[in-house]
Amino acid sequence: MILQFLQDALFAAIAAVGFAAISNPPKKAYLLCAIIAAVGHSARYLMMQPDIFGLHIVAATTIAAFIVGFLAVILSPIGKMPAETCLFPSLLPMIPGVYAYKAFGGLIMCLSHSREADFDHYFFLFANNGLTCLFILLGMVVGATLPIFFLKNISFQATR
Amino acid sequence: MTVADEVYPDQSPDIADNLHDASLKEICLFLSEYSAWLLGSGATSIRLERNVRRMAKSLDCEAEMTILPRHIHMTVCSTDRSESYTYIIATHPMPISFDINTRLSRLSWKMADEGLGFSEVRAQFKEIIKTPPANKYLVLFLASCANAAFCRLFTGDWAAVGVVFMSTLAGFYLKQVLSEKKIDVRLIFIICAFVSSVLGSTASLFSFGHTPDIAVGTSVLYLVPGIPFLNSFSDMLDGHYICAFGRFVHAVVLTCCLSLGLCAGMMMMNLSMF
Amino acid sequence: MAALNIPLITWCVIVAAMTVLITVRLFKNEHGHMHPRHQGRLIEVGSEREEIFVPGDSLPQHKKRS
Repeated sequence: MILQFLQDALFAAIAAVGFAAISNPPKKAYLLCAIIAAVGHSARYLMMQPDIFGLHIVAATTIAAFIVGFLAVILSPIGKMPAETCLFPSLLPMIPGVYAYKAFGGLIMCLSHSREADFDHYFFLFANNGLTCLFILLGMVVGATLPIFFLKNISFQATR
Repeated sequence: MTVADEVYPDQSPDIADNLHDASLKEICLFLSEYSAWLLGSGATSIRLERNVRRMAKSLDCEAEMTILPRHIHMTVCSTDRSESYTYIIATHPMPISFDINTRLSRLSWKMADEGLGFSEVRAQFKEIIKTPPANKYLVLFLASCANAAFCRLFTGDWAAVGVVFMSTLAGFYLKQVLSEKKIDVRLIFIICAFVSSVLGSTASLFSFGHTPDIAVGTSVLYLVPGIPFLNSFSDMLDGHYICAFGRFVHAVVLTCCLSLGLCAGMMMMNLSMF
Repeated sequence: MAALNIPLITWCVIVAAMTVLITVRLFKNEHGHMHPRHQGRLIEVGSEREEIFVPGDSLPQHKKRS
């Protein structure tokens, strides 16, 4: 269990660094992103374990994003960066990419099946994945922005 | 009437001009250029507004703007509203760069706190926008590692991780090559998703490993437009609904293209998504 | 005799295409840009003038002469 937890944190950190690299962050941000993302993703992993909290993915992501946002606001003044610079790349490992493309996959399958039962099935898959994706994104951004507003003084003056 | 006007009612405009040797027109053009780059580099609307207002304030004028998905409409006026200048600028098309975003934000604080002169700020701005993107081979390698790590997060076995690493390496390289040729970004997404999903299904084609389906599913995740999605929802929370909607549609279109390429790839490989 | 194996063919085509692309790019990088632009290309995206040509538009060579 502990091993899985640590493994989750490690791979989330690698994923965060890699995906952050695509959006050209300042060099100082790489390490911070890795740490923040590792904490955030492993927190979500922990919360989603059925035998611990067993939270739904939307709720778990929102809380994890809140933790990520909090850490980003506190740590970003170290590198003299705006909070988003650390925040958004660290959130990237939690982006519901699989839900997003499964929603469109469902839509395409929907169009290629005209029998009502099949259509309903694929429409259900489209709606289910699409809604989950939307609400994860919404929860993620709400969770991550709340600390920025609470700690407004730190977050908008970090680059000072 | 601002406080400053009440205290110095007779202050003539030429004294105000001496404080910062720049005309309103120059300031407006500079601030428009600044916001075009800041928005292009992937900043949220709230940051853009704050940075521009801060800079305008330190230059003794006021700035208001409308942020549209592809344009910025900027009006700069003097504090007593006696003269104003308006400019519309198209956002600068560029890959997302948090490095430029950070340095432009820092520049606005330098101007507000250290009282950096207008011409000095303009010179520094020209330096900042010349910042080259990170080494592309390094980005290629890191992105491939990231996607492979992602596969592991989705409980793929090591065979799947290896396959995903190779397919991302190929797909991302293709994306870089095609981006250099200035091909439409949507077409790039379709092609790269197709190539990555075909290569990602290597494991199921030659039936090695225990989780070939996870390999196919995660091989295209490097294309998911995460930053546009986050920016869009962030703008929505700040009440910039038009900009939020524009960014959301952009992200959805890219995701659509990704899915299209993936579905085509899976169809050719005789796999099904569900 | 096995039936036509579409997945295998697709896979091979993609792998071959990627290999060719990478080899060509590496080769090109080593030798620099020996050929001027537009030479020896099978497929290319046309310029705006070529894409949205309306009869009556001035042709490129007309512009050069004037």
